[in-house]
Amino acid sequence: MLIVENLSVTLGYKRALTGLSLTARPGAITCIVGPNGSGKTTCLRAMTGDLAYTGRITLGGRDIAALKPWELAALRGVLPQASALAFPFTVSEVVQIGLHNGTSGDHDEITRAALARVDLLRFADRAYQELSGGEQQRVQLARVLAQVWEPVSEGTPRWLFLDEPVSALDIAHQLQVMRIARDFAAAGGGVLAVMHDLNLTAMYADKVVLLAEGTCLAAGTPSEVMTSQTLSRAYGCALTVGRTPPPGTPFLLPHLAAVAAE
Amino acid sequence: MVAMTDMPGRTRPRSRLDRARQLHLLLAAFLALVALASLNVGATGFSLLDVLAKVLRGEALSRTEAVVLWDIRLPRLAMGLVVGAALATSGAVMQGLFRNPLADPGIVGVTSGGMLGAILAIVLGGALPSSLLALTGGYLVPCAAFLGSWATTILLYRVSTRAGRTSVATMLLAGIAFTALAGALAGVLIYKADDQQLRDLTFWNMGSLAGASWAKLATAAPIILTAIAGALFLGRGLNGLALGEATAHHIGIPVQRMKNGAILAVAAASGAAVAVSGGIGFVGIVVPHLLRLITGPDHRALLLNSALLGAALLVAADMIARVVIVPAELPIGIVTAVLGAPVFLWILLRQRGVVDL
Repeated sequence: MLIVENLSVTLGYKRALTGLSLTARPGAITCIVGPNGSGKTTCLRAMTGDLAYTGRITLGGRDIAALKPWELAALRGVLPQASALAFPFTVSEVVQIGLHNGTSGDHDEITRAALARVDLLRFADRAYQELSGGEQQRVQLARVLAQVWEPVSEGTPRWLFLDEPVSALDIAHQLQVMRIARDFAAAGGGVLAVMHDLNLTAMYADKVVLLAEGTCLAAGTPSEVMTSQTLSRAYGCALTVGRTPPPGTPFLLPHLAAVAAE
Repeated sequence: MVAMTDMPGRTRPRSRLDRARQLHLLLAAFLALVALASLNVGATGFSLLDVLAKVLRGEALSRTEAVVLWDIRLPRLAMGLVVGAALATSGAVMQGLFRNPLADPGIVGVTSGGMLGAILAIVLGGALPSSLLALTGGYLVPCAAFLGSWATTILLYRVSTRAGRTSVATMLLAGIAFTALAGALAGVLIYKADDQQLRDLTFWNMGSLAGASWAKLATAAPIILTAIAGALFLGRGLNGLALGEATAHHIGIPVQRMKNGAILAVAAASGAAVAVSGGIGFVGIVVPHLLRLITGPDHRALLLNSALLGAALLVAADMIARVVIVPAELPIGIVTAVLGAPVFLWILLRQRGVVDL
């Protein structure tokens, strides 16, 4: 389990998170959604050990503040929102750097398997900097996957922390990435993703945590959290949630908000 | 660059890391060759072969030969090796740390601090009490340069460290500010200096291995070699840092500890190098850049290769400096700049548009 209790983070003079508590379980996809500046990324960065915080965060019963960087790296991989690469490393070299403290075993095999997973094996020997933004984001995902290649290691579930994993991708690769996350969770690993796309969230999340102004506004299944009333309040905009025919996944048509505004 | 269409069905090419590791041996052999050549030439004009023949025939070496070989050429060769290795390795570490191929030890203030120390010693050294002067002897300038380097590095490090985290960007900017300040102070001192001091200063600034002696080597070499040995362990960490500080942390690298180690190693190695040889430019930028073009940027092999190639090139440059205007000699900084700058420009022009540095 990932358990966050009473988490507060101050960035400069601004209180970015106030007393946030949430839980996420392995074997499921937990999505954090909310408007810009609501504290989604701050929350993720606290959980990955990048920010100073007050409160308590435990991963599989271990307080993350007490873990060494390499111990954390064996427990979880982190996909950042954007990443710049210094020096002309090739695609497969970038993935191998991620293996630094991840899985043991034949690194070359894992590297190739991870690249195949994101559909980029044919670019293995290309220079990373020559790829498009979306391709680079998928290479980074392959790197993170390689780092925690087995979703469960010696009985301990491992975690993927994804910060807007689909922001730079076309629709086919958005679905591909969400399926990779789904498979990772189905194999027993934990997935925590910060998401902007509410429709993909509704389709793939097992649990949704809705943040607004640095605190948790609602948490539960997509159907529980994604109601017209709750979302309209969180985003400050008249939103109408629709339902697909059974299984009844919630969806949003931005067009309806535009109609409401007129 | 391997074209996409070349990929399927072909056996996978050997990884760049393997090739970079094979280069270790090649560079070591090159280094040995250059070292022998360097022992072979000099202003006195006898060759290593003559000496070897004499030794084999069981004849004693003449006094001149023994002195030239043991007290002039050998310490100078050894000094060239350690200084070259120090400059190139420091450059490679700095570039990895600052994630910038143009970084060199000058950026963390080592060079400007060292220069200020040297200028202080040259211009104001005469004002010191004679007992202190007698104690430091000929070592006043190198000592002052080393202290200057260290003081600057520690100062810049303190300025850029908040709550246990060192901001590499702040250090870069503070380094620029400090270099300007040191330049101004140096300007004041130069204004005060007399003709002889000005000449000493200019020569120190251009760099030279001419003053090499066993005694100097005994002080500088242990510092430099320890620092280089430490730096060789930074390879994985610097690779991780290429992905950004946050990602380096995510893949399990103790980032702050690594930064501390890198800065310490660079300050020690290049501080000592500046102290004994003055301002020798270009080695720290050209050598790692050249190696990155040949075998890729993987620091696990790049650091050792930089040390080997840096040592070989500096010894070669010193050899040229000693023989082009015999019996006088050129400051080595002139040789490295004259040879290094055009080569560097050529590399840049050839690379232009192919791939971002």
